[in-house]
Amino acid sequence: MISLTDRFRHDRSAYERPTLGWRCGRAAHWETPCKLGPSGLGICRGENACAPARAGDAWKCRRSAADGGPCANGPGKDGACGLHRPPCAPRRTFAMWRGRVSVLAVGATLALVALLAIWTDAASERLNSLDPGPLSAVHSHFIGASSCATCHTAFGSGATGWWQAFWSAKALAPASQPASGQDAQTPAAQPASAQAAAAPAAKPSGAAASHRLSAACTECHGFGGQEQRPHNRIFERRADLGPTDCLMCHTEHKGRVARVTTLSEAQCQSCHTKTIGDFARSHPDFPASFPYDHPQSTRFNHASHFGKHFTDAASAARVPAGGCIGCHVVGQEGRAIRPANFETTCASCHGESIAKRDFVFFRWPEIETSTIAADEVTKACGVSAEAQASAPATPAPAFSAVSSDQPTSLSAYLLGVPAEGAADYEKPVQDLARAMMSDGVEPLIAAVRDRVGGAKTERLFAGFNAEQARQAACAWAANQEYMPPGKDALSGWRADALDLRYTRPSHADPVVRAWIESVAALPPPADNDDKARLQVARKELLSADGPGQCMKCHVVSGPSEGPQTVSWQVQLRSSAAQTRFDHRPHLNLLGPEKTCTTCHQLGGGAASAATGGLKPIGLATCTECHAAGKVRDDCRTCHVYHQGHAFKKRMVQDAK
Amino acid sequence: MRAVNRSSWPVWVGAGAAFAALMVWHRSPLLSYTPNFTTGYMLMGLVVFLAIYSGRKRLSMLPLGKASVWLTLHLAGGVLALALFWVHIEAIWPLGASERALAALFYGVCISGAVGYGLQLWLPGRLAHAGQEIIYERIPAELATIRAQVEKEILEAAKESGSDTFGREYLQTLAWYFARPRFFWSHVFGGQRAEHWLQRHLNTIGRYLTEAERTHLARIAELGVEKRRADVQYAMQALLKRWTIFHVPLAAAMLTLAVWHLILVHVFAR
Amino acid sequence: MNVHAPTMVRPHRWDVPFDSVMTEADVDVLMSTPVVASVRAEEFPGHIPLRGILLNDSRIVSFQPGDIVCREGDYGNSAFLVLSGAVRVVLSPSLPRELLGRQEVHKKGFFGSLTQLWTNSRIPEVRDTERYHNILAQSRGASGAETHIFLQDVPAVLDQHRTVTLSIGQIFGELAALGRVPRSATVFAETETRLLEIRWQGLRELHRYDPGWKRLIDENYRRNALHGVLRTNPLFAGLSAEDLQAVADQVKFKTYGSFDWHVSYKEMRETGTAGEEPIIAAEGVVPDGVYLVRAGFARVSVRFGSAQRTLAYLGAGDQFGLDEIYESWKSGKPARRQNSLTGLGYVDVLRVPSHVLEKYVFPHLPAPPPPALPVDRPIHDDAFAEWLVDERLINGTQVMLIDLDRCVRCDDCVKACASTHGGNPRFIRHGRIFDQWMVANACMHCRDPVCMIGCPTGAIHRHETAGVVVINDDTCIGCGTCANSCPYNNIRLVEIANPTGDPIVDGDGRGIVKATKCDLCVEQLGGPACARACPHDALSRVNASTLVEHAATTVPAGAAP
Repeated sequence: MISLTDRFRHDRSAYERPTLGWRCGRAAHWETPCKLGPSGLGICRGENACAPARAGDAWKCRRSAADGGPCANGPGKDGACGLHRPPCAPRRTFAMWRGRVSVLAVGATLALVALLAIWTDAASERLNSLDPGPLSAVHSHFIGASSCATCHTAFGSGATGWWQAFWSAKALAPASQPASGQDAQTPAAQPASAQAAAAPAAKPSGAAASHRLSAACTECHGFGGQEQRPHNRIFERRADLGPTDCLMCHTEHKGRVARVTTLSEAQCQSCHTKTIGDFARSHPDFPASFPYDHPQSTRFNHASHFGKHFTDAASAARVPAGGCIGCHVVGQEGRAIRPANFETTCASCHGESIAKRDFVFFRWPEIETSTIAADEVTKACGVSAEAQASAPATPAPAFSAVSSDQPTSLSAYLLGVPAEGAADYEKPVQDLARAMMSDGVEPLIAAVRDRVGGAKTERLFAGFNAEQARQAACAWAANQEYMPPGKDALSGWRADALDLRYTRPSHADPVVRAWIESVAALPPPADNDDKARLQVARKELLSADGPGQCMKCHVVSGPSEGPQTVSWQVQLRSSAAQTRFDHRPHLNLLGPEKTCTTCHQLGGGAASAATGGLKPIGLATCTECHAAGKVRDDCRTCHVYHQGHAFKKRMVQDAK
Repeated sequence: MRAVNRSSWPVWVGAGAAFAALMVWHRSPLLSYTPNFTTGYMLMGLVVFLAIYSGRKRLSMLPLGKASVWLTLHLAGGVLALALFWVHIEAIWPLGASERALAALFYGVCISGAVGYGLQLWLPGRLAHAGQEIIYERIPAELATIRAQVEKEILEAAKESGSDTFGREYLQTLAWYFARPRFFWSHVFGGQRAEHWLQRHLNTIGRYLTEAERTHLARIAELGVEKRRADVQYAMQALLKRWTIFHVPLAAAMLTLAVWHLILVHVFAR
Repeated sequence: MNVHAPTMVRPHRWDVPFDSVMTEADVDVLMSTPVVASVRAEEFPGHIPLRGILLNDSRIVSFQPGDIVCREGDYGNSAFLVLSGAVRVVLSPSLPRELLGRQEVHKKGFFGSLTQLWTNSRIPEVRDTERYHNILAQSRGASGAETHIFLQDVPAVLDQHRTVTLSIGQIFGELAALGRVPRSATVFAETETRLLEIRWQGLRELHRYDPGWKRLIDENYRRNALHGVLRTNPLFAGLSAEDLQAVADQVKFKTYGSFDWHVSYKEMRETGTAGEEPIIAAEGVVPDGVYLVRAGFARVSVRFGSAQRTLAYLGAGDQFGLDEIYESWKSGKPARRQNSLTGLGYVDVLRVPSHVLEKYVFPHLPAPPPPALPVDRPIHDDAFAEWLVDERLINGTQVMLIDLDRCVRCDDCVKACASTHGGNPRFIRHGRIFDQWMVANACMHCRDPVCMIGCPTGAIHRHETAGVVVINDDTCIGCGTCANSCPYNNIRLVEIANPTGDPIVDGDGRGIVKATKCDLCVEQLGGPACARACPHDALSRVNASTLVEHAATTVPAGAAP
């Protein structure tokens, strides 16, 4: 061992130089390294122990004290060191090795990357240095050497392409053709979506910037509304919302079993900043009348039916059996369980009352002065034996009209006359009667076509008995009541006494429906008198006691002055297009004991009318099961993001 | 843990705060784009910063702050990088050949770093109290000196006794021990194998030696203990140096692959 | 051997004279001045003649009125003899620093530091031998005209500061030169002045061989030393000028130990036998006064078991033995010394006798705090301090202390050292160990830098302003005196090589060597690179006196610079 004093003595202990790249090869063999050490290039310099000095004629050893002092051999006669040692093979120091290994590691990495990037045959796909992981099952059919280019336009685009792609997310985006017409399979394909699918370069920059990968997605995937708007069509007009793109939510290459469409709560919450952390605790409550709040839905009060009418002994026999499913057909419906049709549900009680309300289209009114001469009537209508017989030979000196009624509100509107004050309307009515006597119903129909029906006039007068109507006009002109041939005529159009009426309408009667629809759809006329008269007519026609009692259940919507629409179908909640609900799993899970009333309960208090006599369903109903730790309660359980997703036609064509 | 001492707590608190801020940001609803690009660049920046630690060692002539602060930053940054890495890849193990290779290298760097730091905490204290302190580079000379003295003892013993028993036995067994450092891992873990080996062989030889030779044997036993002390120094110091042969080249390869990953992501993933 | 080895002339003492402008004619003139003429030239040995000293170890410097000759606080290695004119010594108060035109240490800039990254050689100890030739040529050819900093308003200085005039034949600056302490006062030229500046080596020879100079130097030395000490000691702060003079007149002087204490100490270190420490004041006797340490080190100890237990060690400026005398004076009862004071190496002490203290000092003195010597502590707590004193490490102001429990032996400190010194480390990461504390083989920049004794060319010196001991590689002749002097083996001689790695040899084929050591990165930005480079805070440069205080009060864990 090296003595303690030697270890520290300045003349025995030289600086250690850990910065050097080489060390003596002797030290590597656990022998004493020579003092000089290898040169900077790793060449042994320690072959001689010293450089002997000339002392007169002789040579003197000058081996330093640190090396052990003058050696026993002494210098040779030529002055060469007597302690010549074979040169060693200097070794690299550890630090130098580590540096070399690091450089090697970098080099090997680069080489492997380059090799595996070039070597792209199918067998080696899993080892490709471009391999970003397997595609999901749905996209996994994009296979083959150039399949990457299906989405990644930079693939195979060479160094220039890579260079462009590196610096710009928009470079190399697929240049789609204008997509109008190609989106035919997209439901509700709109011009806006056609715009969205157009080449990004054609769009104003910034408005709906497209990354080239998103553009690749929309090559095949189309949506109702603009593709790069939040929720597609829902917020189409919200200029304040920026564009979206597919990559914000969808990622690929996460494995075959990974679901591209599976999203996290955080993704929803990235825009919906009113963070809903937990459905049960922080979801806002449902609207007040949820889910029975469709404004156009057919009126039906469950509470009064179940509570009053169905328990009434008088009607008990006619009540549909089976409670809820007596009316509602629980089949394979998902979102909504509709009631069965009128005939099987309501008709047993309400069928008759419909037939009781006739539609009185026209009524010949009372007049003060007849300007129609008897011979005019005779000439125009001919003389029927009957009529002649009953007709008075000479007009009575004081005219007494056969009709004591006013014109119907509809006829007042049609003729543009006031409904009161015979002086004001008798002339146009008598003109009409005169025209009808000679020309049949055509003048009347013309007035209807002119003021109500338009092109639909045919439907309004389906089954209209023109001759009967003419004869009724003749009769009135003759100041007589028209007596139809058979009193017990079947339902439909008929003239009866002074009326032109449509009798005994059935449910969903097409003529009554057409009249109601047509009058409801009329816009307010410009003329104020007309406007007032139409309002009266509209009110009569659309009242709950109107023809067929339609409006007792069916709902009219629109401004009260028109135009209005009539909702004939039972409307179920559809306002929130981005929400979804499926009865099926609930029915299956709840089992036989848990019937509809688990969620749908009678009652509902003040809002009862609006909710059809049902208690609104609140958040608590759902959170009983849908809560953390129970049944799934993430946003996407009920909410959907995209509207109208469909494949584009071109994609299907390409596939063929 | 030495890196978490009174003077370095701000760094660790800072790293924790940075990570908390990152998580808040990452989960925040204000993102306009997928956060992976941002976390990726953060991670890249952090990894480059960690790599600069090696540069600091080469630039010690510049007033770049204390290396101990840098080490603390390196450690805290390394832990932060691992957390950020998991946030970035949203998994423990990614898919895809190049990303798996990158993750493997990253984990390799992390593990080697953790092991290295563990060694740095574990070994110095033991080295300080393991007897003779020797500079690593001087261990070969130390061993050579001990060996020369042992051989001198053997020669003297042979000269005195005229027998080659000792010399032959030395060549057959003891020479192995004195030739170079032995029982590396036993020394690292504080084992007694070297003592036992030496004791056993010296006892075996002792039986056959004369009284005169035994005095030399006793001297050799002392030298054997000296040699063991040098071996202990060698084993622990070598380990303290060698762990970097994993950490540094792995980090270099990882950085290279990270650049490739960055290129790929820019070219393909948007 | 390599016959084409690069060669140069072996350097010798006086190869680089103090000032190459000095000529034989100048020496002739000097020899005729009264002060020099009185020197007994025949006493000088043949190889160091008086003329040689004057020619090589001295120079004549001229100053204009107001020029500053030397500044208080400077480390200087030379003394001055007034040849003509007069100089003023500023006694008190000291001149403000800005008036002295303090120079900043020449530090490398950021880029200058950075260039070391690629200019550092991969070959050990590369030197540009051309540079040595250039330096030699330059110093010979350079003119003696030096730039001086001058005081702007001399009358104001004279008005506001107490000064004394030194005139022809008087010497000043020898305290700093011989005692290896900073200059105690600023000196400026009063009139047009010519001074003979004698570097420390020459002064030493004059002191050694000429009795006249010896007496002159000793008298000056003692008088000036006394004033310096008394002025700075708070004990005498309240005294009037007359009282102070009275005290000064009665102070006793004594020097203990050998001026070259390191030689015997090194022998002791190598042989393991400790010599007796000279006793300055013994325990158990009636105190004869207060001891003030002016230079060197002394140990305060108390008898413990069969040995002396160190309680403290004293350095320049410290005092010993006040408490017993004060107690005795206060209580009127005779007291005995509780501790003894022994010299460690060379100690220069002043003793203020008890009756002087009682007469002039104690009446003004507020009661000193009771002595707080930690005699109740277990001896183990003091072991570290004891060790530091035993090893004479107390001398160091920049001890490289390594905590081996933290050190991972990465050598980053050594590499950092190499990177700031042209690729060459300037210390070895080994050294004496106490418990887990290693004091590495790195220059400690001692308070008493014995390495500077005997340097024939003055290559090793205190840095002008930083006070760090540095070696001027250009003037080092590789004689090894400093390396042999250093008691701690912290100076190493290296064989230099040319940039291609070949060793530079003299005409005989012997290698040229240079003395090297830690320069505390005096030219580098940011201080010692070694301490900065330690990733585990294991290495620190500490002042031994604070270290001992730390060690005496806490465990050494508190060791910090």
